[in-house]
Amino acid sequence: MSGPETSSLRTPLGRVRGLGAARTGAGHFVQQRASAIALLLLSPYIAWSLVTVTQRPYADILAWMAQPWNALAVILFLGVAFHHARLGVQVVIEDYITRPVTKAALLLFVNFAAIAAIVGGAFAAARISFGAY
Amino acid sequence: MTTSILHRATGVGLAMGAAVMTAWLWALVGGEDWHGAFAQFFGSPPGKVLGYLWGVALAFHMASGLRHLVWDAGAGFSPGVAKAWSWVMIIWGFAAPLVVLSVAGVIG
Repeated sequence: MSGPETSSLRTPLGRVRGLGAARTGAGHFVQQRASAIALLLLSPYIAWSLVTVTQRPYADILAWMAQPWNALAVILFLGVAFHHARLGVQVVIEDYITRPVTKAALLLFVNFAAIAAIVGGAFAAARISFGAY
Repeated sequence: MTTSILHRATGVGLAMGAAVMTAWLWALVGGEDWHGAFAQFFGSPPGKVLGYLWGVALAFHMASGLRHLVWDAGAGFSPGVAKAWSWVMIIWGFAAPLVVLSVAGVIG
């Protein structure tokens, strides 16, 4: 016999079992890093804003959020941060939780919670910005 | 080793912090009383400590994440360099929030 089938470095058993490169995961890797770079820019602005604006009275905080630039920064931050968090927590769960049912339940919860936080947080920020609080 | 687990631990802590931030946004929507409860807690000693620890987590996680990006580029892997940066990141993590709070006038 000859050809690519037998010249492969993978053993026939390994090939039959289909265990090898997962063929997925590059997207996860790239998105984790891309969102990290975005957060390197967004987080300092959000952290500084939270530290300074929370020292002021309620009405001032609402006025801060009413500025389109600030509302957009908050919404953008929530979207990127929870996407990044979802990807990161997913890896932590996959590494430490071995029981399949628990793992699946936790992954489902993290995904639901992240999307709920993005949509819910953005809705709250928009309401304040539009003066509908 | 230590910084790897710290990167994960601070990441999970920051995810919880971001969740509290969305709760804070809803407290703002809810009115002055709801916001007051938030402000009161984060003005109390346990709240201040929690806020500072979130600052530490953010400063460390950002520095550690930046190192991950450098590692992705294939640089900085020698044990000496990695160990030195681990110490820099930990000290930076505790110090940077204090500087920010000081510049913001929150602490003397």
